[in-house]
Amino acid sequence: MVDTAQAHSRSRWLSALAKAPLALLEERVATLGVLPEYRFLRSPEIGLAMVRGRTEGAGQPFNLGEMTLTRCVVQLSLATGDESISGFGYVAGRSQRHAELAAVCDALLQHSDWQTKVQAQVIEPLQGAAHKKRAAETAEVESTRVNFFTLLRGEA
Amino acid sequence: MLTTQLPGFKDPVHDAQKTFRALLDALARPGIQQTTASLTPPEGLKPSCAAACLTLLDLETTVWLQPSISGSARSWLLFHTGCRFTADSQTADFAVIDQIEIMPRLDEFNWGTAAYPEASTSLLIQLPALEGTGSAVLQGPGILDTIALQTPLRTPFWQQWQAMTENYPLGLDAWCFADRQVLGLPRTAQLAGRQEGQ
Repeated sequence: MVDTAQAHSRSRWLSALAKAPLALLEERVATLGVLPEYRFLRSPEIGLAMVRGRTEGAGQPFNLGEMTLTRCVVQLSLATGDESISGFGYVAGRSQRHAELAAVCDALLQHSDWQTKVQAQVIEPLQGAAHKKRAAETAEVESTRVNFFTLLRGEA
Repeated sequence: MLTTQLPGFKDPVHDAQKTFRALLDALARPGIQQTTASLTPPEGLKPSCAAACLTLLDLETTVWLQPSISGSARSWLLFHTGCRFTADSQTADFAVIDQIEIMPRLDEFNWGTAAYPEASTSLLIQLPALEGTGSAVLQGPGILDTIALQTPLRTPFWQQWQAMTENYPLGLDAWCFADRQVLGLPRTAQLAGRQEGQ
C-alpha cells in the first residue's frame, strides 16, 4: 500500500514538524491562510514514553529513561468524503498545540491539493532553520577543535 | 484501513467516568438497567458496549473478541485503547461476545484462582435487546428479595451460570449490553428458583 519513497518523505516531514520550535511552526502555519476543517480522532493527550538505547549503538538494548510525549490524531473533513485523511502528531514535551499543528500539517501533506504548498511554506523553512541552527552549533564547536599529532596514528 | 475513521468519546474524561459509574452500579444492583455515555460505535459494537470497552480497556488488558466481530471494531479498539488481543479465551481479562447462540461455554473462560479470584475474565455480552423471552429469577447481594429477568439469555446459559456460582468465589462477572443500556450480572447473583426459557 504505502511505497517506501512516500514513507521516507513522510518520516522526514514528521521529523521536521516534531523538532520545530512551536513559535516558528505557528508562524509558518499562519502563512497557509484558511485551513480546511478538521476534527480530532484522538484529542491531544500527554503521556510518557520509554526511551531505549543500545550500548555503542549495536549492543544490548537498555532503558535510558522516560520522556514526556504529546500525541494527537486529526481527520480532515473533505468535501468529497469518500476517503478521509488522518494526520498524526507526536511531539516531545507537553505542548498540546504543537501536537495539533504537527498532526494538521501531516494530514495536509497527504492531501494532493495542499502538499506542494505546505511543503514549500512550512516544511522547507523548518528544515532550513534546523539546518542553520545545527551549522551554527557546529561552527561554534569547530572553533575550539584541538588536533593532536603523534608519530604513529592510533588506527594504524 | 490501517487506522480507524471513528473518534472515541466526545469528552474522554467525563464520558469515561459516567460509563464507569454505570458499570459499577450495574454490578452493585444486578438486574437493574443503567445508561452509559453515548458515542458513535464502530460496526459490530453496541454503543454501550463500545463505551464500556473505552472505559475498561487499556495497554495492559488482554481482550478476547468473538470471531464474528468485525475487523473495523478490532482496529477501532486497538486505536483508542491500545489493548492486546488474544485468541485463547482462558488468558483473556475481558471477552466481548456478540452472538450468545455460539459463544463458548462459561467454563472455557478464566475463573480466577483461589488466591486471586479477581483475575478472572469479565464478559461483555452484546444482546439485540435487554428484553427477551428467557426468564430467570436472581437473588444475592444487591438484590432486595429476588428479581425476575426477561432477557434473550436462554436456559442453557442459566444452567452454566448456576453451575458457575456454586464455585464462588471463583467465577465470572458479566455485563449485558443493548443500545445504550447495560445490565450487570456479578458472580454473586444466583438463580433463586426454576427458570423457564425457550
